[in-house]
Amino acid sequence: MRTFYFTLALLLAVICGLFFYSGYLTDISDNMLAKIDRMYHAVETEDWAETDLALSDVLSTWEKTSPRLALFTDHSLLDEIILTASAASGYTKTREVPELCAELETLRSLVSHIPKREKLSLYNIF
Amino acid sequence: MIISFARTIILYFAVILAMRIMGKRQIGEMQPFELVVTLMLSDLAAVPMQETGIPLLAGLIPICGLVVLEVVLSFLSLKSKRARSFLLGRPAILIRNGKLDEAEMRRLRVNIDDIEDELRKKDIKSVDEVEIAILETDGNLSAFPKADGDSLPYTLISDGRIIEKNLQKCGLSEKQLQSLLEGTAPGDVFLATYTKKDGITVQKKEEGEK
Repeated sequence: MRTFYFTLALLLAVICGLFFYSGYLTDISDNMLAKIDRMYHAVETEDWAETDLALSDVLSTWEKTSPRLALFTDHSLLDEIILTASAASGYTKTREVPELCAELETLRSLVSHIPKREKLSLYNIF
Repeated sequence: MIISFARTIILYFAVILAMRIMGKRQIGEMQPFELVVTLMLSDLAAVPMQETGIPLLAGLIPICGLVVLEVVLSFLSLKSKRARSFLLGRPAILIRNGKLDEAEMRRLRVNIDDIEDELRKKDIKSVDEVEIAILETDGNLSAFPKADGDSLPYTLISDGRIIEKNLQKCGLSEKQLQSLLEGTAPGDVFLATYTKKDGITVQKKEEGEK
């Protein structure tokens, strides 16, 4: 009986953990998307000072959150985000608006994909 | 490489812990669903060991899920006869008094060569030497030769419940069963078996389980 109760407690802990982590991923993603949007807006208006600040904000936030995300998310997706952010950083230095906008869109897609990928849905199950 | 090595160590201990939680039943692979769990467990542990791009939790959480499922299902099979039948199936009698039960063999898709093979492994030369042969739920064949003398015992009460079918096979009524139990209520009996030669053997439930 002790084993049975222990496994029930384990099951409960895992289910609660999984629901919590789903919400946590959404929060992280929304936070990053807000910063990317801020940067996108700055690039559109060619406000390079603001763009540099926004980029540094995006990169520092990513540096803080990616180790935690690595516990739950496929590392290849995280690697793609790092590569896209590096490309965006390069285009920011050279002030190339169209390329930078494209990279930011890609970054946006990748970051918004993180919670979608882990969401409990029929699409993901099958 | 060192990451694979570190993951291997973690997953190795995780699998050992899982097997310990699931218990001796799992190690002995007593039933089909236990075999399923063992097969799946090895694959679940192997993938994150090799694929360092997959989070370690992607292996540990499914292992945890399997452990929970196995413990819950084995607990259900302990408490409910219906669940036991559904999950484990029922043993099937293939030979009765030296004669093969063709209908059962067809139902189970077992051929004569399979049966003779199993009998030879038990040092039984032919089918007509067998009093009773039962294909157990784990796929093993239990065979009792005629020379033994004792007939197979019938289970009359299992975990407090009277098995009517076996009571009828023994030619006993519930009233007769009550008198054989000598005042013990059927609900207080953990196991009661009966043979024509030795009569009834009763094991009562422990105090806490009544």
